[in-house]
Amino acid sequence: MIQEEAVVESSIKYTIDGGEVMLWLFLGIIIGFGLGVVLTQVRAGRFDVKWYQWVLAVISVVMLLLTIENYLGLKMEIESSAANFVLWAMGLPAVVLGALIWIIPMVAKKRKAASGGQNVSA
Amino acid sequence: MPGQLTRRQLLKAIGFAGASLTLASTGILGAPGVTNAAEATAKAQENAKRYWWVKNVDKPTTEIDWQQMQRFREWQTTRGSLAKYRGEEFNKKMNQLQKDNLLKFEKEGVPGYTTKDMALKEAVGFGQPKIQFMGPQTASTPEERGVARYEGTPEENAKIVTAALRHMGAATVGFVELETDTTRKLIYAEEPAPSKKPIVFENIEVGYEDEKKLVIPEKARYTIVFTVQMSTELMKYGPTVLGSQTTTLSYTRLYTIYAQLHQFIRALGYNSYGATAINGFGIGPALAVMAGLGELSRLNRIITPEYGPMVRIAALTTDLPLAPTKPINFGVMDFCKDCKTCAEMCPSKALSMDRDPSWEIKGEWNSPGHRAYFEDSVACRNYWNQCGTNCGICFSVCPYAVDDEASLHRIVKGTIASTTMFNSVLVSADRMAFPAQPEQPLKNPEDWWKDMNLAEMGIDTRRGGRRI
Repeated sequence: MIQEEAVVESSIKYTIDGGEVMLWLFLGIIIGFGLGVVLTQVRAGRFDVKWYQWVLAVISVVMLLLTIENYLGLKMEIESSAANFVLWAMGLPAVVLGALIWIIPMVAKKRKAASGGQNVSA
Repeated sequence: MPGQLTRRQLLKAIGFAGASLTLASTGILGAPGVTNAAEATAKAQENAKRYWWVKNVDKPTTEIDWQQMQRFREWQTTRGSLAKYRGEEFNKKMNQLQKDNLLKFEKEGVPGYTTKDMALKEAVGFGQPKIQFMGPQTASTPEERGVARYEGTPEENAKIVTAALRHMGAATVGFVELETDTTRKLIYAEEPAPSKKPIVFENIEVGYEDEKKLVIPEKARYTIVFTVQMSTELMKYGPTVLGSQTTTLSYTRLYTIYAQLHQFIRALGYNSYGATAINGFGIGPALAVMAGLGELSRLNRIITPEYGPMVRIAALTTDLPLAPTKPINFGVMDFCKDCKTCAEMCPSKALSMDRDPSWEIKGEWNSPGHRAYFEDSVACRNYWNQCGTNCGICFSVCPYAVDDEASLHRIVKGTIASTTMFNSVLVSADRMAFPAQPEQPLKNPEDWWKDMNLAEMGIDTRRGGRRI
């Protein structure tokens, strides 16, 4: 069991090192593409993005990138428990913040409907 | 709506915050009297790059009473006087216990003490050159080669010594000018046991060693202090024999470089004077603090910005003029007030649990005259005898004993250097991320033998200047 873990960790360490640049290039393309799609949709008036959603999106993406970078970095340092700690301490809040981008408008919409169409702040 | 943050206001605030962070990171917003180490070294001495949050300061973060401080005798440390401090009989008993335990653990196949671990110990300690007062003295001098000796400004000399030392395998390099009433007191008054010869300064041209004393010329007042990296990874297997190979290999490398440095200075046409035994010339951590290589910590050893506590230090002095480097501040002294991880994890409870450093020494093995976290060195040595090695747990659990791959380490170190506000939170987070068990290695020593991709010598030589 111990032997298997050591071999797996060692192979992760060196695979990451070699593909690190490609990983960030790939992530950059994904984020750039995603942002492009959102901006196009907003300009076409297909949906409205509130200012706080932009803020949540930026924080969420930055935290997600930091989580990926630190998770891989700590794996390279052969520090599995610290890498897992980063996953839940940084990755989880990033996902929660990302989810709030959709949840907040939905809650506001429901509250608005429940109050009979009167203006209710989110 | 009144009282609500508009999009425009938000963007403005983000803009200001971004500009402030940028200015702060360049050191423009630094405190008065404090210079940015990276900037100063680049302009004045062009030494190795430092992180932006490492600040040059006029006085080290360790308070020093130079009047109270006297030159210390090396043999007063527990390296030279352990039998005196704990009694002859107990000393013999403990030394025997160490031998018995090592044999017992090897026979029982305790991880980290097995025959392969013992074999590594026997191998890694081999190759350390003889440590001589003026070095090997075999390099040809410019005179012997028929050329004039090298001449340069103190700044130029500091640069070439740094470059040479990096090539030889040193991690960081700094320089201290020995002043009679201050920094010279960091050079030992007497060399290690058994010889205990006095180390004296005289107004002569070339120093010498005879049966009674070691003589350093007054003009050899330029002290070179350098560190070598220790393996952060291997130290995690302490207190076992395997873990202790971190220090064994580091000392082998340190004193190989030491001899090479003596040779380099001789081949430039100058003289150098240093230790005759391991750690035998001056108080390494103190000289390193004065040279700006790190700050003194709760370990009563230095913590460096680049490698944390994972370094070994050596120093020698020369008549080659060298521009001194300044002490640094990157928040360690304050951080150690909140972080007691090393002291709590120390199996012998030898490290100070007090919040603040003290002027009171713990025993004759401590050098008085400075405010530090003095350690119970005898208790520490007693545990060494029990575990059979030089332990190293306090180094391995230190939050600064980390590699440099994850950016969080640099963010955390930068935060500690900038404010004390988050120190307690960061200590708690470190303990959650890097959990430790008392008297246990952080990792299973058997795993180390199964990793076929370990770093050469256990260290990442890309760290330091190139990656900053």
